[in-house]
Amino acid sequence: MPGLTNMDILSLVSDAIISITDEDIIFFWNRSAQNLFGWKENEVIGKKLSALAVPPERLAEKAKLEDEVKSGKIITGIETAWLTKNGNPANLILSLILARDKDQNIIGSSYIINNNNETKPAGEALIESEMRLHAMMQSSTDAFIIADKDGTIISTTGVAQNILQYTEQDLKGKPLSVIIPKRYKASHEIGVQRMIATGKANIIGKKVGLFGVRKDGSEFPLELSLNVWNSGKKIFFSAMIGEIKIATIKRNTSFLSNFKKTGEKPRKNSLIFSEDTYPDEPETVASRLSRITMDSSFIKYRRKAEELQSENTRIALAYKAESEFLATISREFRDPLGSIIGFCELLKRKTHGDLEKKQEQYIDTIHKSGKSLITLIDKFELKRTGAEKIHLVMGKIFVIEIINETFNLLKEKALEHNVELTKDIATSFNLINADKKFLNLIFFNLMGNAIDFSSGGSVHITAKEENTMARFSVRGSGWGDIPKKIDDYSVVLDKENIPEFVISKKLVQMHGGKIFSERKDGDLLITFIMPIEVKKRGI
Amino acid sequence: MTKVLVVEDSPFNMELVLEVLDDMGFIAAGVTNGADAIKNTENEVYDLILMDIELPGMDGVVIQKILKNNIKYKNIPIIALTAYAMKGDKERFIAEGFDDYISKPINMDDFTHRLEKYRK
Ligand SMILES: [Mg+2]
Repeated sequence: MPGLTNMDILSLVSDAIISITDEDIIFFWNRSAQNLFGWKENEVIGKKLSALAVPPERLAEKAKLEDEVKSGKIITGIETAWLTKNGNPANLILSLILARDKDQNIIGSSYIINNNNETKPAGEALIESEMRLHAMMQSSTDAFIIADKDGTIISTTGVAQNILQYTEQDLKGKPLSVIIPKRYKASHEIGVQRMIATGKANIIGKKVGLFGVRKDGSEFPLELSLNVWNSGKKIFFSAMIGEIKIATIKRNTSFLSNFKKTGEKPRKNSLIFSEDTYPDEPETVASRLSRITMDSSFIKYRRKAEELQSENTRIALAYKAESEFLATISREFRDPLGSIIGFCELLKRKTHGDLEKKQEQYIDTIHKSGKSLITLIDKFELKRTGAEKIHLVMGKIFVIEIINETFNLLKEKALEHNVELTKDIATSFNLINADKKFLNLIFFNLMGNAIDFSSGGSVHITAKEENTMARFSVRGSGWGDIPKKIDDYSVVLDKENIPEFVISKKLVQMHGGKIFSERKDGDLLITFIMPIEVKKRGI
Repeated sequence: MTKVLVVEDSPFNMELVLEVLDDMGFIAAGVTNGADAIKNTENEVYDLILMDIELPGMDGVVIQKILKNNIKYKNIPIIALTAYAMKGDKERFIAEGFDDYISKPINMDDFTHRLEKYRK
């Protein structure tokens, strides 16, 4: 998961933070430490902390604190005096925690230091630190929940809110246990109390799999890793959560909404299926009949839309599994292969005695085979793609038919978002040779995403021929908001990492085509071109 | 005698590198992580360090910085030994403070040629 790591967070906070190895060598020194003590990062990294900032009479105290934190004690609120670069004493409040790397291995300890001469009134300092925390959480792309020592939620990131389908307001001030199924609450509370009392938890620093509860009460498998933090005199917990994705296949539309980066408006219930749209008053036969006809067509399309959604999930999972598999293969094969090749080269040097002609021949063969395997791994590395397993079934498709089909599939969604769908298909453009299901999925993904972004606006699709190529464009009136962050419309498809785009791009490429985004009168236009007559191929 | 410290967590690579260094007549010692590397450097004077980048705990870049920031060790040449073979990586590692960069899998002739100049 990209985003803020623990170390990044440490470099942002206004508390001075200094991390040292077990040998007292400084390996992390944040900006606030620089402000407090006067030394710059490059003046201290690699040096011993005791030799720099700790007066001789305080050395024993420092050693004792470090021993205590290693034995699992929480060290916080220790008042002491160390030295600044000018040799002046500074009155400090220390907390100490174990320093861990991203894999949670202990790599030393970290001092969190506040200036004890702080003149700011406590309340003001508190507000400031909360604002800082809030800003930090907003910029995180990880699903984080921060809670105080009583387990009351202080702040959540947008990604966490999306996973849990709560808003920030819903969660703030609530006990952490609201996101945990009732049957786990008792053991959760015991766990939290033990953690506060002892600073130890069975699950701290480890990734554990359990269940989470969304706002609507539905449960989903969840991965959680918990950390304890000491800031000044305060203790708080951070929980990083990750949804285990496979379970989302059955949930209607959740595949797409899970990936939305910013807090999306909660979906309204469907106008057609919501119970309160069927009042108890008597219906006329005609209206009843028309309702039933309408219902059955909606049910048909809804089922089809769900099928397409799970197709998306299947492609994404295949892609993820395969790319992880290839990464592991290349990592685990490279070292032993390098060793095989290297030892062959050593043997060929005959430093340790001559070789028979046959022996030399055999070693040559081993060497060549090893080399060809490395080349193969390099190739895998270059095209780490999961689309390998997805094969196209080509056939003649009526362009107007497939676009109408997509309109039907998205009618309900367009209604929910109050989006007008329009199309412009060149009359001469009749047939295209493509995989029907996947071409449908490309339209469905692009238009579906455009609708999501364009509430109250419009989505327009055009289709025309250009010599031997088909040219399709989708324009969403609200899409223009996406690339503001990156100021470059041409990289939206790659940089935004929106799964509908990623999957569409793959499918277009499999058809031997290409897809790009461009600016059109302030709107974003996504266009894909593919051969009208296509040869069967995979990526 | 030229003393070389090899920091490498893969046993396959470690064995190969120690063997080549031995063949070259260097005296080589191997450790598998940053903490051991720092401890070892305190107890023994090395003429050269070969440093893997992807290591458990502190990575090779951090260990290199810790050593180079210490007046006692800052003159020991440190060569990055890494599987990253992207264009521009060499410049990146030199900019981080490494003295040289060798990509894995090692090419025997290139490897011995490049290490020759550190012979004492
Ligand atoms: Mg390694």
